[in-house]
Amino acid sequence: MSFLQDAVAVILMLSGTFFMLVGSIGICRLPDFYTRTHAASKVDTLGILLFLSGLAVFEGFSQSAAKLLLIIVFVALTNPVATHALARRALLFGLKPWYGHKDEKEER
Amino acid sequence: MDIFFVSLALVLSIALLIPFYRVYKGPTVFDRLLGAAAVGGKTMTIILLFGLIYDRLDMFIDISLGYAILNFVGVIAMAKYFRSPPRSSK
Amino acid sequence: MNKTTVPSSFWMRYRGLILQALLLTALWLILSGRLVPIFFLWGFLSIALVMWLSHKLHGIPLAENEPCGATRINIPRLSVYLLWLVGEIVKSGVYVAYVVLHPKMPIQPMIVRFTSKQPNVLARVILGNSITLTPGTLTLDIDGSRFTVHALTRYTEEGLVSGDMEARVARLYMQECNAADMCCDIELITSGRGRRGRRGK
Repeated sequence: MSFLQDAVAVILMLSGTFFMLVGSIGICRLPDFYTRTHAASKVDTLGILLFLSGLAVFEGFSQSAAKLLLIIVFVALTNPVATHALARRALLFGLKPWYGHKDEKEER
Repeated sequence: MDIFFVSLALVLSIALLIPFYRVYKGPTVFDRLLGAAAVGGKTMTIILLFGLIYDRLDMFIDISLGYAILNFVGVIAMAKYFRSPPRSSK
Repeated sequence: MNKTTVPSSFWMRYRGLILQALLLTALWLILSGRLVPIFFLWGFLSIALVMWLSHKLHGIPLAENEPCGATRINIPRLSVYLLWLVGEIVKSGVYVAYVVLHPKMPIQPMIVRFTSKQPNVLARVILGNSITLTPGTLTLDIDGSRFTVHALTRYTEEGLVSGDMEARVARLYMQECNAADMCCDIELITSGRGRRGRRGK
């Protein structure tokens, strides 16, 4: 049982770290602000959620796990809101999105 | 298990250092803010990992919860702050 | 749309207050973590204070002539919806991670504007947050019932405009609706110079 618990925790934490790393790479690699916001809001949120649930599984049934659940709910609610606030402010600011270097052919 | 946590902390610190490139070299101020928010989220997890390494997770969870709240409030406040366009010429 | 009248049963009328008290109690128990009578006393006092302070917030309308809580959300459907949303978070994270790690980065960003017929303000807020969490789309602005969404690829835009999620959100408020007529006046902006419109489906 304890071995299974540790294995699940390790897998969750490793995948969370992987997604956070991918989120960081995406923030640097994507071409403009709005697409970077995609990386920051989705991939980072998923990474943090996976990592925290891995920690909660590692802790087992205790008060720390309950607090970690609280942090999970908080992050899942607030991280998209924060990035949405930034993106909305950028839109009202007048920041133009990047539409890709495509030629002028009409799709569909 | 400790070796695993320390190596995980190393990978996480790499993931924490990458957005500083965006903070340093963002074309607009929003890119810098986005990078700062991403750094904040990863700092939260790295604090929890240190709590696990030092066996004081109950204390570090409270710090991390406060850090998450501060990160959220800071991003919202900064997003409120940049209201006017840089050039008022329409 | 269907403004429910004030429900007569005790549970429906005081549901918000009871749920708030239960959530605050759970929060107190989690954060204090001690089962000592003096902690229960302080917890009871702070919960009463918080509920008295936030009691006045219920009177503030979120928009004109739409007071907060005029229509009641359906709690069993809400829990099913949250479970579905967790799956969507995982899918969207995997999808955007695939896009980021792809060597050629197959993105074709565009801005979609559409009008969604949601029953009230809270449903619009839920829809906006859910759009941010589902694959490849990001809510930029909500003005009235007009949504401005940034989509990462053409494929994600198709999934957004199909109205599946809008119907799910509207069904939270006891409404039978089909996905086809949930969003209308769709307008795609795919280049910086001109805007290309597209009506209906």
